[in-house]
Amino acid sequence: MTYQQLMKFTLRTSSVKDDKLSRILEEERPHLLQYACYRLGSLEDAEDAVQDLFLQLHSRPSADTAPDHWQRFVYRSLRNLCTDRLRRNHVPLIPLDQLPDMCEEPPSDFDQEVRIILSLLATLPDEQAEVIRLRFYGNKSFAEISLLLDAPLPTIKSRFRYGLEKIKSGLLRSPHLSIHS
Amino acid sequence: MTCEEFKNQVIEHLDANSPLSLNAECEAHKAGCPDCARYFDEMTATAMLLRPRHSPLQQHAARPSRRPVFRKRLMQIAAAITVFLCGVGVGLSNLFSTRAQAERTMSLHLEHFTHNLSSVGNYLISFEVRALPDENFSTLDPEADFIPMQMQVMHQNDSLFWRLEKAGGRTVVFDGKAQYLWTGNGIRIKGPRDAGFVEERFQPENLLKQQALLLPHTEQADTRMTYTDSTVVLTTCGQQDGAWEGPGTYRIVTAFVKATGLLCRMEVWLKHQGREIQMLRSTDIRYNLPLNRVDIVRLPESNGTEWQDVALPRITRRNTLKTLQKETATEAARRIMNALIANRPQDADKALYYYRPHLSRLCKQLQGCSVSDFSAPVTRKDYPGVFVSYRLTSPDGQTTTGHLALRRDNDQRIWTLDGGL
Repeated sequence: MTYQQLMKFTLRTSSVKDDKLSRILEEERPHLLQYACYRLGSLEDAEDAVQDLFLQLHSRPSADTAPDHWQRFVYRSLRNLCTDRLRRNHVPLIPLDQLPDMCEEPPSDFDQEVRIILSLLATLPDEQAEVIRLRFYGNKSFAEISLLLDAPLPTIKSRFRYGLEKIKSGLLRSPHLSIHS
Repeated sequence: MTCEEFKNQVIEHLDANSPLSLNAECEAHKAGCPDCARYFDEMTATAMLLRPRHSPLQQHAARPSRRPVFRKRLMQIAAAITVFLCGVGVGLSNLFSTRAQAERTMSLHLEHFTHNLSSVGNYLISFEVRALPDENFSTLDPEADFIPMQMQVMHQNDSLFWRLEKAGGRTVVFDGKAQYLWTGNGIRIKGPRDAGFVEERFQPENLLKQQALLLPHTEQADTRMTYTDSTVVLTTCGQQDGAWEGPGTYRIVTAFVKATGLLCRMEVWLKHQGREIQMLRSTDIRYNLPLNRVDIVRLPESNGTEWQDVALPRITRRNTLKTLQKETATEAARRIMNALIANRPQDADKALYYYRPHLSRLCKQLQGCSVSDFSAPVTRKDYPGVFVSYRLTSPDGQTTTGHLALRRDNDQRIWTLDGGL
């Protein structure tokens, strides 16, 4: 039987339409992975966290009422999973006084880069760090972040600005600093 | 521009999809304000520090889109038009003087047809198609004899119910909430309202929209409206990929009763190997009958076979799920065949989920065989899964080539067998 002939007898011919949750998870998967990766410090942990997220969301009892805003629900769930993992597996951060020296040259590999990033973000209040994470690792626009975090857009932009300014100020305090680009 | 406004613009510049450079006003301010120029440099440098350079994900290929495949096979559209192009009172009195006018007029009519479909209480359409009973609904075969098909559709309040059946073969029912598919060889599957058992274009509104989309592609000379005493006849021709080798030229003929604007006849012809073959023809179209919803959604008598849910059972073991998700189609095909040959279908239970009623028979048929030479997966434009071929050697040494159809458009993204055994 050729492919052509076989195609006539398949059980289903068209693609199955995913429900809204499955569609969101599929589209967001790369962004979720990257977000988790730069939260937890390793790709393997990020894959596990996203896997846990998928399992958690799909194993909800059918009687559960679906949240109104799926994307917000997904990112919030992943954030909580990452927080739980970080409590159990604490990522060693770079001491504050060493950060400027570490930032003088571009990081040589992922491990060094992620330690620098996690250490820089650890100097911020979590609400500012979260906006930066969603912007750079979740690849979300400010408008999307506003929806995800259920906060006004000007607030999101302010958090982003003040977070970036605080990191900049901390690095600039060191006489050794030359922020590379 | 004030310095505060400039700083706000710097933040906007760091938003997603923003232009790569500042606008002219910002550039002018930066040129004249050293503090702001320094602010811009330091903020962008800080952002660069935080942006991932060595992300391990950058090596990953983008996941393929899972949008439904848009099937352009005209035969499917034709079949659906036969079923659903009805229930409209339209005065088709225009003669086309230009192609653009023809397309506009027909587009408007189709839009009107779509709108009026929801006004029809119910209809029953009987037609004949060149196909085999157990083939899926999307396939028509110019070499096959005609077999009867029937479609019943009922609108009740805000609900829709329908039944599509092929004589001696597949039937699909939609009871307002779920779809049910059963075949002549004992397969029974149920799924949600958008389970994919039939083409999306079998939904009437979508079908008419897709016919309207085809209009720009019809050949001008063959697009025409003609009149008899009681009917208006619309003919369109166009090139489309078919279910068989190569593209084909199809002629669709629809006739509408002048007095009511309702579809009364439908034919589809294919130019195949130098001759024109009729592929589909309506035999009876009736509207607003005393149809019974219970009869429309009636399921077959129980024969001991359970209804398989199209949604796969959840795999709760994370490592198992991860392993299956990473499996290639070729690896899945090999695992499936080896499991059946070894009489251990449980080794591929998720992949063989839709074939549970047939596992013992399949194991018996393959007993003593061996498999080899599994190919890389092959895709076809009109199928959302892949095909993997293999060589099967029977106990007496004879070899044959087989093909498995596999797909993984499920929410767990694991390969399942969709045909070939």
